[in-house]
Amino acid sequence: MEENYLVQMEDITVEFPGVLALDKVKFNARSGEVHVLLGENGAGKSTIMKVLAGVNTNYEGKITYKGEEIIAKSVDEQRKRGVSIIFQEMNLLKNLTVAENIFLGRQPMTKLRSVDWKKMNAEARRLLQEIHSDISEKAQVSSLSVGQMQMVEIAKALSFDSDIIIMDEPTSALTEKEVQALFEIIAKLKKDNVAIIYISHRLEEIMKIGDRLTVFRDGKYIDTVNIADITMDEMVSMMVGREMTDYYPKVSVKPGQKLLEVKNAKQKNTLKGVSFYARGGEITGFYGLMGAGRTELMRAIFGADQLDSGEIFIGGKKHKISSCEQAKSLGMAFLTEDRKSQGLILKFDLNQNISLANLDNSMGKFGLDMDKENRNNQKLADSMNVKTPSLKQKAKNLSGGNQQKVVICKWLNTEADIFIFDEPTRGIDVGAKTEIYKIMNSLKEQGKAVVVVSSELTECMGISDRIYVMHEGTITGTVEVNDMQYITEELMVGYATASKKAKKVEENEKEN
Amino acid sequence: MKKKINLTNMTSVIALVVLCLVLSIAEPAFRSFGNLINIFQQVTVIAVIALGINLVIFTGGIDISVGSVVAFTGIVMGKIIVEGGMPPFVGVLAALVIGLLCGTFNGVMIAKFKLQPMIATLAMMSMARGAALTLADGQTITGYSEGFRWIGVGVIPGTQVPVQIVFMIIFYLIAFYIMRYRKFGRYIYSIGGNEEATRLSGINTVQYKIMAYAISGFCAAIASVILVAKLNSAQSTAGLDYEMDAIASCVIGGSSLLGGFGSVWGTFVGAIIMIVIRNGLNLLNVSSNLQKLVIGVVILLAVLADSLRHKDDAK
Ligand SMILES: Nc1ncnc2c1ncn2[C@@H]1O[C@H](COP(=O)(O)OP(=O)(O)OP(=O)(O)O)[C@@H](O)[C@H]1O
Ligand SMILES: [Mg+2]
Repeated sequence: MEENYLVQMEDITVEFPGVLALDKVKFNARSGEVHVLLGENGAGKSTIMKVLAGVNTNYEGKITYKGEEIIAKSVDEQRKRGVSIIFQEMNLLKNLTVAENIFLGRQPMTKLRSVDWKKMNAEARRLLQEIHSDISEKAQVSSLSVGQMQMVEIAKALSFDSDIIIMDEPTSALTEKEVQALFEIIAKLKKDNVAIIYISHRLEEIMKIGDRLTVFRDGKYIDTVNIADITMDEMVSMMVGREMTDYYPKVSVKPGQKLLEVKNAKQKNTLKGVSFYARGGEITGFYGLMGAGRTELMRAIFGADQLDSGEIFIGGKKHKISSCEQAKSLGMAFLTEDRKSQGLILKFDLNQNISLANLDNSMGKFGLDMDKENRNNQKLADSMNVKTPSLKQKAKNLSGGNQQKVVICKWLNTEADIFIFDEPTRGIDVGAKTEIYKIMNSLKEQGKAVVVVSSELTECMGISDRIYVMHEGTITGTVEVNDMQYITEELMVGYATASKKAKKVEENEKEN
Repeated sequence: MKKKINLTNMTSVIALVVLCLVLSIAEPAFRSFGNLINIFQQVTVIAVIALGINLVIFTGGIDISVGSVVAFTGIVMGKIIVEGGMPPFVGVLAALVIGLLCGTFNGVMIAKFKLQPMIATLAMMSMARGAALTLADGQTITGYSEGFRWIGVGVIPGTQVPVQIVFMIIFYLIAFYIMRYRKFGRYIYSIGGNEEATRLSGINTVQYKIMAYAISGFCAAIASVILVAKLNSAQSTAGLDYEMDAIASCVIGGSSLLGGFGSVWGTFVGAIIMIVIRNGLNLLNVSSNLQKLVIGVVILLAVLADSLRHKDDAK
């Protein structure tokens, strides 16, 4: 039993008001391995890693690091010991540049004791290149997409000379290409004898790069196994405590009218003439690489940004959409990709968050009826399995995946006909993902149009009835209903990188 | 969230009680009935201004122009009623409209043209004061009818309860209802909580922000009417430093300068605390220069407490 682990955590307990987040769990890691930590949303994965990284100092238990017992007292101290972390919830300062964020608090100095910008930018450039990222080191973080921020977080974590790198869902907003780049880095780190603790809800990824796997469920330790010894299905049943078979449940609905149609949408550098439609009773998927313009397109349709030119038809009628308020009143709902800064009011409770887009639902005779509000919201939260002691809990105290569910609840609370979901399952566990697909299916059965932007190829292919693939602001591929069965992952990636010209796989079926 | 607000409300109430106890021991005159009525009468003006500023603070903004708006609207009203010889309600109406316009102007600059609230209202502070000084031309406009002055000095028939206090309480009840039970209130808090998320939830944040500033200007005008009626005079120097007292009332009452948090009743208690401190300092014969210093320290402490309370929200 006395193996020499780099780090060994035993009997770790963490309690928050009303929540026993970790109940005497254990975890260990060896140098040169990728140790995956798996569990449902709210299982306590981020919590234990925040203990190890010195963020959460309010814990009980024993940590042995490099053979000696330590107390994780602060981030700084842990970092000096060689522990660095990529946080699940982006922790960058938005009004600073990429380089400033990477070297925050330890900027290289010139002899004259001022910041050595040249050196700092060059270093940042080098780190970004190492992960094959073309983000400018001088860009302000607020101008980046969630995926790009994730890349910056990764670059930052790599910039410390670490013995352990904790990656808390590093790929949740990344697409294949960036994920590939990260995997190369991980392989290199392994060779350098670094221990990598990897948290992810993407099972294929785990199978591919993980060496060992530890599973938590509801704050309890379940087991640690070698990944080579188990199948994906076994992994899932360890995690959710039951068997799962159908990951992408499908219902077939006869598509209805075009509820949303966009013609030739243009926006400065981001959109170069995009046309598409979404029908009721159908899930329309959008796939593409980071920066392909999918988010920009959806934001413009919902009135969050303006188009330079182009036409938008809602239910067959042309509208010029100039605000989100107008878009909502036209029957649209829009789940943003960045839940922390655009989806939630972190310091408010769940009730206030879930009701925000449709307070009319909570109106009583004399104005807002808090009991009614709580009742309505409780139903929604239950249907999404939001894990929280009560709806009075502040949003910021929820685990990442549960926060995402709350934002989805907010939009399900509206009576929209057109649902635009930008990365709806980011950070959501396998079981809950399927629940969300079921909810999308039920929206589809109600004859609503569902538009899903997804960077996860299997998901996009698994749930969509039709798919558009975008690359650099144009649609490079369209997959129609009848072609779905012929489509391969290679072809999709081909479209997304524009290595194949935009063309339909088979033209045998023309939709009206 | 609820719990926290109740807690901070309680701390300010406790602070008030302690303050009163200390003062009544240190200076028996503090306890007299006359002084209590006096305190309440002084509270109205600041409390009504604070009510408006509170909305702005909930959205995460600030309005430092209210003191000048009090002076400006007061002078306009005086000109119309006294020099123009018009019926008082015309003057009052004009004052309210101008207050509303000044506030709306602030709101448009901040919400539409994205100016910093501090800078935009600083400009209004200077413009409104300048307008008041120009219009008044160094004069004090005095001599109002009994009917008009009733607003400021009248009592409810058969009692000793001043009319202005009744007005104030009605305003507070309305504000309480709106902030807690109307969509408007929820939206105002939400803007302060996360403006972008609120906008992306399909809420017209620009409109609600403008309304918050407009109401702030409007409340300043109401306060001005009460003030002129009470003093029987309108001066271009009226309302100096009122924004300080009103903002302090909000913060002492538990409103967060980061936005998103605070309550109407907390602000009421905060306003009373401010006035009690001033009243106590007066009774203790503290010079007005020294008073300024003391009040400054109080405000600093309140803001410090606020930032500590909401430390983990500041992201
Ligand atoms: N600051 C906090 N206050 C109260 N409860 C908290 C706090 N932080 C976490 N929790 C609770 O602790 C539990 C574990 O959360 P944690 O973030 O570790 O989950 P997770 O396994 O990382 O989930 P996910 O996959 O959704 O990221 C959750 O129920 C969460 O609500
Ligand atoms: Mg987590």
